Amino acid sequence: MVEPLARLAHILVGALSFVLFGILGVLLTLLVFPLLYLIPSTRSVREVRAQRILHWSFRTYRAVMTVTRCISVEVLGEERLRAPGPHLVIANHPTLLDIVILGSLMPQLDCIAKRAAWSNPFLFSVVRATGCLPNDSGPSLVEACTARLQQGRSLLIFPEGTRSPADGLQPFQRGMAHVALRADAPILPICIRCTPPTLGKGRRWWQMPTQTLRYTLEVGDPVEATLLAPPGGSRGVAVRRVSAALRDFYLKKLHYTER
Amino acid sequence: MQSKEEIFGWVAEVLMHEFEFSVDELDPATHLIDDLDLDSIDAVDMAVRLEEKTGYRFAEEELRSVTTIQDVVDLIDGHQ
Repeated sequence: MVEPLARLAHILVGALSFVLFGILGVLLTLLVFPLLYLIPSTRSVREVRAQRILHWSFRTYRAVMTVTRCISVEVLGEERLRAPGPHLVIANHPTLLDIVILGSLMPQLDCIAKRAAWSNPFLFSVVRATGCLPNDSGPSLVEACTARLQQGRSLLIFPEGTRSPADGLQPFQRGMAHVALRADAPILPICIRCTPPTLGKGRRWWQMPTQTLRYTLEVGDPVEATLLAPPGGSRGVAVRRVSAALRDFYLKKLHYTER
Repeated sequence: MQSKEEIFGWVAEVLMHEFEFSVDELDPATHLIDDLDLDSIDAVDMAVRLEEKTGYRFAEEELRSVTTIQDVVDLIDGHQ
């Protein structure tokens, strides 16, 4: 009798947290971000302000999720995120909440979103105000990402380009390595672990387990991309080396063996 | 006027130099994405190298339409 009740309670809390997420989204979309456009400023300043607002929203959401025991978050090496940037932050992408947790850690972070987000009524205002980059064309996305880092803004890339499969990694898209080499910015690799595995690709939020989701994020030492590539080689070769080296790093860290 | 074999030689040379493929990985039917795992950024880099060699400028739509090495050869050959 206790077990189904506990499960029901957990599902209710989970559902409420998603409702809270929706309410926060609507508030930002209808009220906060439109107000931001009334303050005269450059586009870049406005985008960074919007990112700071989103950061505080994510912090609030994370705090509520933590207090209600939906999640627990442990961050190892968080001080590395506060070192002077800009950084190219990369991470594996096991769950739906990764972006919320990463966003709660960094007040300024440029992101990439699916082109479809610009026609989604709930996301449109957020991606536009924060200056998200649409992922539709490889070459122009690499240029846009490089430009952001060169302007001194930190950028988040999930090198897999989508959520990670359970207990594994997708192939890395090499755009990340292109950006790292062109912008010559240090890469900050973050390993995200979540137990039990949940909210992954192909799972629905109501299928989440009845226990607290335990997140552990490990921020690694900054990596200079140029040191991972052989000197004097072509760009195509350098990019392949950097991408493969970083994927190996993640496979080792996460104790995955390639099937 | 270059023969198709000569043009194939250029394309193969660019792919070997730019991406370290070996000569036995490359034949006219080789698929650029499925076999060589090139992405859209690689395709642009390859096109730039071929432009330097042949003087032929690839339009963006042309580059998107090619799938095999033979398609690249035909494109350059068709514009001689």
